[in-house]
Amino acid sequence: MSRGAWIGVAAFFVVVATVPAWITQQVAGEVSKQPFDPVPERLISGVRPGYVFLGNSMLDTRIIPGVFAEQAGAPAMIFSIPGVMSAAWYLQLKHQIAAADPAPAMVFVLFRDTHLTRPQLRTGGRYAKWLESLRPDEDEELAAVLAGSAEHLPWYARAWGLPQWWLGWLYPADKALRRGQHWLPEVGLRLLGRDEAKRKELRVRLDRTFGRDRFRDASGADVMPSASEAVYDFNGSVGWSFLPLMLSEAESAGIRLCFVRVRTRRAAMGLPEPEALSQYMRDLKTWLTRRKACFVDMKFNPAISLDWYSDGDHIRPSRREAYTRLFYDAVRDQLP
Amino acid sequence: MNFHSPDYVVFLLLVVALYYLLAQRGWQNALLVGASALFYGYVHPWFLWLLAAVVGAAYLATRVMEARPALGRLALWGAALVCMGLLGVFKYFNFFLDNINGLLRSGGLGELPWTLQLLLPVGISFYTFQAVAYVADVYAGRARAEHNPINLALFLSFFPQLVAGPIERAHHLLRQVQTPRRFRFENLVEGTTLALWGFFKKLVIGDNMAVVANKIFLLGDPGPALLSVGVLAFGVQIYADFSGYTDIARGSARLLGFDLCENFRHPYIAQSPADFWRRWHISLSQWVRDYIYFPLGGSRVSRPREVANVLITMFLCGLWHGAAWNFAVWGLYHGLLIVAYRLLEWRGMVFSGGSVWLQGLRVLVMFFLVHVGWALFREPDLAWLVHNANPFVPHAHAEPRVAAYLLLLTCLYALPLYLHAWLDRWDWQPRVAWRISDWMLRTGFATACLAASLVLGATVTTDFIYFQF
Repeated sequence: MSRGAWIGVAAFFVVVATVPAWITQQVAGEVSKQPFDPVPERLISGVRPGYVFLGNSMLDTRIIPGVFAEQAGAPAMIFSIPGVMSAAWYLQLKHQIAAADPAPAMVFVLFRDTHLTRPQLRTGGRYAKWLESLRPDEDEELAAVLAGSAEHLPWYARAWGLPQWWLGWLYPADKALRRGQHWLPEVGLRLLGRDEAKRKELRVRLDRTFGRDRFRDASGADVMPSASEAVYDFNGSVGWSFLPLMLSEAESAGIRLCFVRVRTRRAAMGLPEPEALSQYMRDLKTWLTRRKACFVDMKFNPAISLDWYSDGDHIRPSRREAYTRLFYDAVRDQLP
Repeated sequence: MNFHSPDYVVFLLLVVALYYLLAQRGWQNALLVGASALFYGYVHPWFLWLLAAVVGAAYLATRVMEARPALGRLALWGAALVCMGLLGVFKYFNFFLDNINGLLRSGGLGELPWTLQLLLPVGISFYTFQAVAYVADVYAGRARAEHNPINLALFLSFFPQLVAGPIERAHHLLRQVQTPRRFRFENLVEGTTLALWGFFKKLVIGDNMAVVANKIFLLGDPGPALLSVGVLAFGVQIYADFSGYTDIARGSARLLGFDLCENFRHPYIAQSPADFWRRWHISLSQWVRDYIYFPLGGSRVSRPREVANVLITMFLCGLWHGAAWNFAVWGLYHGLLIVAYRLLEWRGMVFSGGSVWLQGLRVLVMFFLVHVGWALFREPDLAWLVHNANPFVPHAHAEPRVAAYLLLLTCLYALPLYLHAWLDRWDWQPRVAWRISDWMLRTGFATACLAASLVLGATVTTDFIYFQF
């Protein structure tokens, strides 16, 4: 190959690697932090619920707060965010629930299998945006857990993660996409609506058209086939999770935490769980009860049969009231 | 491991670097077999047992064919049984069982007690088909049995094409496995460009269209206008997604000095169903043609028999896509289209050539027919589909302005695909002749693809659609 060709090849890779990096960083640099959402704190202070529920779609497709409140004899509120996991629950507890005056007496956290001790799950992409809205400023504890949970991994896992971290730093696509994803839709809006009022009206129509109340039953499946059953060593991972921080925040605010493992579709199908996972759950229970938190396991509740599920691990709307009553029966002994 | 994860980028860079450090082809092939095993067993290591069983069956069968030709037929059926048996158990067992149970229930006979709770191993439909084709080619004398198990393992498990094709043939990929490959800078440049174009199609077009299509198909009562836009968006999504995957696969292979076969040739400018299948998932349509349609007699039989052959072939092609009746109906629908066009051809009609307007009209008709097929492919609930396609009943969630906006958005996202098809008519692809204009064009194209993928993609990426098949 000629000298000119060598230069051409080198220039190709330099341009292709650096120009998109520069563009991505420019776009990402203009993305500001999502504003903190103070509404839950105000709602709790106003309504003064005795019970608050945290979770993702495992929560809002299971629990009807009014039904629970009627049985428990005190107001109940749910604050579910689709898809999020322990990092969001920790931030919600710390900045929105424990900060309320008065704080609720009890907070339930609904989770699947090992998700409580896997702090990095669902913290990137659109979830990063949620996490930003759950904290007023940077949260040092959050950053420390996310970094620490990576640090305790074996050397080969950390070595594997290093170039990925470097790629993420060079091309901050997570942030850039948050801004860039609106550009083409906005072009479409401008082509259809000349003035802002028309565009606003179209946005309202879009939101109304795709409101959750208009979706079919089998919508928004949240299926994590067997991933949530992936076995982890509880005692080896709890120190790097949000659990100790959650218990400490709850204790300071006088809240009792209650963690409830939900029944997944796989369990309803009668599939046994690995022995190592059962051991993990025994360790989790011991750890929580020693710290005066409660643990309730609904995974093997035979009353919840396969026909209760709409899609993935979600419960169909017609069964939610019955589910809430079952839930109340399961946690009744733990209520203050 | 997903192509669009940072894991894969790091993995590919490491493999390419190590690959070119090894000078000998044998060591390079061994490295690629190891890399393919890591790639395939990354999440579920037990998948490797299935792959090993398929490679072992193909190896043994072809060696037996060579050593004892009298046992060739037995060896062919043995290998086909292993490959199709694995596919049948993992992909179709519960489907057939559900249908048998449905029949038993309707007859008041209860249900069969068995059920298999198995995860469908990703890519099993692709590598089993590739293995069957290899064994059949050796049996028919179209290919020679490979003696080196590493070479055969690489041919059947080459990671860029392992999980979603293209379904390669021995005369194309195995021959490349057997011959020395030398380092060429052109391969790095061409492979990178092709892979980045694939990333752009997947992340910018496919994933953004997935958001539109998924939301519309989730609605309870969208009505014909929104449904049509949803189907159009799905048509763009599935093409961008699958052809994007193929381009990443071909680009990754090119980085390693391999040339994978073309799988798409602008299918939405097809003028007839036969033309569509010459442009859509080419490696699969050639497979079903060579290993189902031709053995059934193809077109060298009576006309009624030919019609039956087409319908059987397309029914099985549809069922290959998934163990559900909507895929079978979709396949059968395409079979009926092929038959209908063939009947018209027998009456003297021609579906190629002619004026630009005539060709344009044929493209529009075929575009419409293909998208009716996509509606059947996408939506398993036929009653929902029929209800929402009916313009004479009221629809609670119909929003004409929203439909118009989403149609415009779909056109905007699809524009690069049509631009690409239009440019390809003039064979615009820059040559690596190192002329400054070629260099600028290729560099600009690759840079734009990567930058757009990083900035304009959807915030939630979805798995490649064809992974589930």
